[in-house]
Amino acid sequence: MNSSVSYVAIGLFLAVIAVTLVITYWAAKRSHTTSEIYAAGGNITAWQNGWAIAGDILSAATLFGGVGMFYYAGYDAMLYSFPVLLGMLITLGFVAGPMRKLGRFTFADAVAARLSPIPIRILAALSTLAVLIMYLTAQMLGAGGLIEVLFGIPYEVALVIVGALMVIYVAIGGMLATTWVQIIKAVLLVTGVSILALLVLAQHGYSLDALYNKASAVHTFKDQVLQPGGLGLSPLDAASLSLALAFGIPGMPHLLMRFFTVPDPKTARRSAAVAASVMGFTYAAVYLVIGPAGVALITNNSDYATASGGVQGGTNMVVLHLARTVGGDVLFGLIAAVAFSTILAVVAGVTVSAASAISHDLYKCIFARKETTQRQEIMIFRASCVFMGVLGIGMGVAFKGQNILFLTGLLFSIAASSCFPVLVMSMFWRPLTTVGAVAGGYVGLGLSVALIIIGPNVWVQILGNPTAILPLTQPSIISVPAAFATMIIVSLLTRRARPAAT
Amino acid sequence: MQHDEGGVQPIDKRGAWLAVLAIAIAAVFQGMWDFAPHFLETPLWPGASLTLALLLGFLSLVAMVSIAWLMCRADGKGGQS
Repeated sequence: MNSSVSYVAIGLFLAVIAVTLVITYWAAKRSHTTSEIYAAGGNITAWQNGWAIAGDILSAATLFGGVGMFYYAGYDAMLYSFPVLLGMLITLGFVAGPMRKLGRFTFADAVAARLSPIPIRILAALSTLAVLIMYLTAQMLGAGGLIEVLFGIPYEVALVIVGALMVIYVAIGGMLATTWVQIIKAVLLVTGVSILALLVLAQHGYSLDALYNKASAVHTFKDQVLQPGGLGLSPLDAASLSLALAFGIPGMPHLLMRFFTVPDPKTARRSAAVAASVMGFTYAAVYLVIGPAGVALITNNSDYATASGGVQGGTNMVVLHLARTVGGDVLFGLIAAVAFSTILAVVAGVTVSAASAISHDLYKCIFARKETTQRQEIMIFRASCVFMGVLGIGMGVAFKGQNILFLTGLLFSIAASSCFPVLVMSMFWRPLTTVGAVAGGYVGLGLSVALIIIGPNVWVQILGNPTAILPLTQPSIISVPAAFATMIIVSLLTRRARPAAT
Repeated sequence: MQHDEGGVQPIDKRGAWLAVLAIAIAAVFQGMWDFAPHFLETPLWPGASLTLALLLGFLSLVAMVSIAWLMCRADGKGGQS
């Protein structure tokens, strides 16, 4: 692939770095207090925050993984997008407004608003760090591989570049720089998919039917490529996956933190609607136009076929091959730049949230018991950014070439089974006690880990056992109800002791 | 151990109903995926590659985005603020 690296792609790669560094310099001059570092001073508008949220959620997996999955599994790829959009609506309906009202900087601020702060902050910080470290690892692994293919840069060097840039953005520019990196990425992504979809439609006389006819003719599934069933998921597995995505999104700490960057709850909700619109448009373009076009134009295409009948670089590269086929080097370069900016935006969002959990929740609120200065807290935040950068690079190197599918499943399961139940119950269920919240949160966390280990992705694919103890790849259909049930039962049992304990 | 109950938030009823509607749309769509795939395979017109699955997929995305904006309309009209 290195011989096919485009100068346009390299030019845009350097342009993305240059523009984001200028933004970081600009943001650094406006980020001095903890409020400015953690929450951009609360001055982000609904439209800006909406685009930034979309930039946070729409990862490289949406475009590269989505089109790649459509290429081999057909229309079932949409199962991975629809629940994410539903998760954004649940966030809008139940979480965004109250989050902004209750919290200041982190997810733990909101859940600790009416519960005993120390145990709940420890749980929230642990869940936050568990989710975000796994998310960072998955992103770094994808980043190293993708940049290696796109720009011909060795895997380890690519990791160092991404790690260094994310530390610079977040440690120096704080949330303001992170926000604008995410906005730029989302705009680039929407521009890229719009141009790609329009060019594909133009090639087919703006007829979706003509495009779908072509896709059906060449795919091994034939007509079935545009119909449900390609992934072969059981109804229970599909339901569990949907539950993990729909409840995992409103439990993602780095997404929740974005609602503190706007001035009030109304703006927080409006920004979630903007994000849902950007996501809905992107999903429609990816799954209804670009995915089928990848099948129609890349299947059996001798320019991109391998000797064994596969696709050069694997199915995740289908969208790049498609871009080169319909738009030449310029569109290839633009989509490559989209991929790079996507990686930077997502890892920056993860880093700012993880570093805040360390400096604000663990250091300031637990270890220092709030007896600290803003200067010390910001120093810890910046040191945490460096730690996350080094950790991300280290995890990327350690897991190179390994199957990390379980990590993605696990992080969504923890977000859905631990973070989301604790957040929702603490905001809306009056009888919830601290003991109940903590018990439910740890049950969700523990069950997620245990059930993933005995499921097919770890028990069979990594540990080499013939069959899984639990046949579900995604355990949320068990762990989410278990977490809620534990919270309710333990809260009701411990509620009588409340007056004595207060 | 509970500090106070002042932090319990009122549920915005309109927003909650709309969220339930969104969940219902997603559940029905995914239910058809699993239990009525042949219905989804119906071509929109004889000989077409465009199927009900693709049309409903598009309409569901449009419905989700529309519901998101309807939720925001509650703000300032007695809804969550």
